[in-house]
Amino acid sequence: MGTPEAEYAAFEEKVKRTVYLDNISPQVTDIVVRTALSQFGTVKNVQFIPDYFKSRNIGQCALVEMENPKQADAIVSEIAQFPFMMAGMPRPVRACPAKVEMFDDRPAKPGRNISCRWLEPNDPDFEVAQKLKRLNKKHAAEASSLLKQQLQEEENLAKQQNEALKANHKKYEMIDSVIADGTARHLAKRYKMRIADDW
Amino acid sequence: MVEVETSEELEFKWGKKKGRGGRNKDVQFYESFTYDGVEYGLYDCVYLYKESEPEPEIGKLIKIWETGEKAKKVKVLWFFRPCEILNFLGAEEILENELFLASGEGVGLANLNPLEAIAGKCNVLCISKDKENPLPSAEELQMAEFVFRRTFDVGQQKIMDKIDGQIAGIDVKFMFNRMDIQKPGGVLKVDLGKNEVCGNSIESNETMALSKKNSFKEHVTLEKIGNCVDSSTQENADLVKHKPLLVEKPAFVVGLKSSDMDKTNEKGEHASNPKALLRSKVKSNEGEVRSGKVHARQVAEEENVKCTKDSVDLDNRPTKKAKIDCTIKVSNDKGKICEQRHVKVEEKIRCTKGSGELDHGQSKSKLNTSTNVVNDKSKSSDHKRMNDKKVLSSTASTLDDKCKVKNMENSLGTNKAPCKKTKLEDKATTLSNVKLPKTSQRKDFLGTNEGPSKKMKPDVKVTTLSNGKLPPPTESQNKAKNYGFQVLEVTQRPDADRRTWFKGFPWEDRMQTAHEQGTLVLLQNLDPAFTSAEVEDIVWHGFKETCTAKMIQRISNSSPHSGQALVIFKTREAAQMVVRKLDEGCLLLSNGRPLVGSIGTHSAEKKPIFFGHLVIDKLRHQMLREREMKEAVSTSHCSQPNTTEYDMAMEWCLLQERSDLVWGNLYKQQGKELRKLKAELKAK
Repeated sequence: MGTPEAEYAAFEEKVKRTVYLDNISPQVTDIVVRTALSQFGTVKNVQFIPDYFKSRNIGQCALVEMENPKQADAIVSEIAQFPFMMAGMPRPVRACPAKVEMFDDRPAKPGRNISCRWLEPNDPDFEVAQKLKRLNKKHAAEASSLLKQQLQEEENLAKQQNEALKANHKKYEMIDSVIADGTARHLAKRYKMRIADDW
Repeated sequence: MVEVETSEELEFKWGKKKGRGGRNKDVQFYESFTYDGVEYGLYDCVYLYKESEPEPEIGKLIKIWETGEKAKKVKVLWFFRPCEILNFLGAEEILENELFLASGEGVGLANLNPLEAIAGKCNVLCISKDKENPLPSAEELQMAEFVFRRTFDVGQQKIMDKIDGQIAGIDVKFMFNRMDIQKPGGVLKVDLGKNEVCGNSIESNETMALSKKNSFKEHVTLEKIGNCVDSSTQENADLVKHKPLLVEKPAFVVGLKSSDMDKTNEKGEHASNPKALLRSKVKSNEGEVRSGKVHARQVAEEENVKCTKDSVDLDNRPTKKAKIDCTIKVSNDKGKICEQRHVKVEEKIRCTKGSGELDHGQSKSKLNTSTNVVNDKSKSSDHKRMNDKKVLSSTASTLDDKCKVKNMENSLGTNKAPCKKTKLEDKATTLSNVKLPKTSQRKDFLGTNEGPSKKMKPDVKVTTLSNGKLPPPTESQNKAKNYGFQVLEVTQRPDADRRTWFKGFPWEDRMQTAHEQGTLVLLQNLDPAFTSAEVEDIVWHGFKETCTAKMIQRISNSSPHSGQALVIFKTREAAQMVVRKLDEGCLLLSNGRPLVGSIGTHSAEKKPIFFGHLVIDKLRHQMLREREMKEAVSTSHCSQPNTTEYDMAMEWCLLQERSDLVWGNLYKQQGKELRKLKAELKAK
């Protein structure tokens, strides 16, 4: 960990063996993630990405550091193939390879030059820069409205699934009760049908 | 050399010829052509239109010819869009605008197409880490419509990470980026004076011979300004394209015996084909340049010269690379071993017909540098050089053929073209040989064209500053002079160390307090790659305020174009001042990002809602949950395909895919808008 280069290289290694998870229920804790993913390998570290804009209502996101890149890859491909439930159903969590910018404690990339300068109002670029600022704001607004729409869709889907689930559940309960109180048997007799006894 | 043909509707013109082929030798191959006002060269990337497809296909031209029946054909090596090979991608990470080059053997690798199917040029950059591939700069990447780094083997139907060997019978070197950037007019136009169009290497050899005899008019290389500008955007930090230079003929050198000059030429000669593009790495240290002194300078050049056997290949890329280490004196007076100038030329050449000579003295300079008349050669202060360059860039842009020649004729001074990369990296300022002859004979008039600069515009890079190192003072002065503004170098602020040991309170608490006190600011439009510490540095340099910053960590649907940071200032006044200043003024960060700021908000604890986890029976679930959370093992599982749960999970996956697609499109669109606007920035 001597030079910045070495430190950065070590960090990049860490990125490679880390998986990014999202769509995690807010109830999920460190330990849940750990246990859930321990079937794929050794979990070294779990770190939730804090959401400073609480209003966003997106699920939790976490960075899970595994022992080696292979395990991380295995998680990504496994979870891409089979829906993986964590502390709830039926919305699966999602896993992607982690990216450098996701880490809070990342070291600065060595050799990067940053500079800044104040533009004078008479600078030919001033207008363009102003436009760029407006564009940035517009983009941010676009993103937030898209997020809103996405959340709306999620809510709708959840509702719809809930309805379907309830209806299904009701149906099963009805069948249960029909069998339990002997109605099924009576009806079978009435219509001269044979039904198995082991109902 | 140039054959003109008009097609039915659109303007069409063949460019340079390659060999002939076919049964009756009736097929003529070409290297380039102009179609509908756009010049295409071999290995350019193009859009091809297919009627049934909504999106045009993208391919690389690997062969261009005209059949005996006058049908124009191109052979196109395809690029795949990720959506075309979705089934083979697996969990591979794909860049936003990534393409896959076709490789291997099989259907879908390459096709013959009528030339008229070409719909336009497509800017595709190779970002392979291969050492043969000159990596594009950040600016270029921003300009690029697509990038590629991997290939898709059509035979094995597999993504290949490495690009090597041959693809469709073409050496992969041609798949990489060219040293000189390919832009509209990708193949550099090299005109040799009026009477020569540099068509192939044979002719170049001729011209070389010519150039020895004739007035130097004939080896004036004219280059379109466009190309200069293009090349100036190329950013291989330590790569300077070093084109061989033109040394004026003795006849025009007053005060220097022609025999001497000849000697110089002889001495400086190396196997070279003047028309070939030489690429070199010139590393020199500006600090060594001292006025009136002879400089010891090491110029390490790595030159790649390409001359193909059949002398038809006009391409700019090297067929191979070699290194020759030698000391050359380029146009030193009297060709005497003068000293202190070590030019290390590493070059590799394969030449056609034995005439493989690289002539440093006589090869053509890409830039017409002779428009500068520098009388005082022994005093080439930095300042002077800056002036030179200014003259250079201004004159060069207005010069046309004739007046260039005229200027050349009239030029009586030492022409210097300090080839300087204005990007100051700790790698050392690269600059071309500055020739400071000191003998008396040369005092008066001596035409020495030196070191063509790769960059015409010394000013483009003003905002780039070296990491932790101060640029040479002259540089910044000049810059400041040119633009009249102060460039702030962002280095570590004074108390930067503090961050490493002072942990403070948890960020959430501090943010809450800051929000209540009005000291919380949200900064936007940062480079997402910045770290929190770098943001603090920027704030320190931009506002002279200390603060605590936190980059907001990226999540899956964060914008790739703009990063955000929350910053806590010491006082409310400071926070308001920063927001106001950012609103009224413009703090432009590297890469053309004006910083955007607003007072941050932090909504108090609110329980986040998460959709998508259903329970049948609320009561039972709540009972269960407490237990489940303790025995966490039971809460996670992979869904099996024969359950209701699986079906529902699939619905979620579908929704997720759809959202991802929408996000991807949104950011792509935003990226396009940004690129378009950023292109308007004058100082990049």
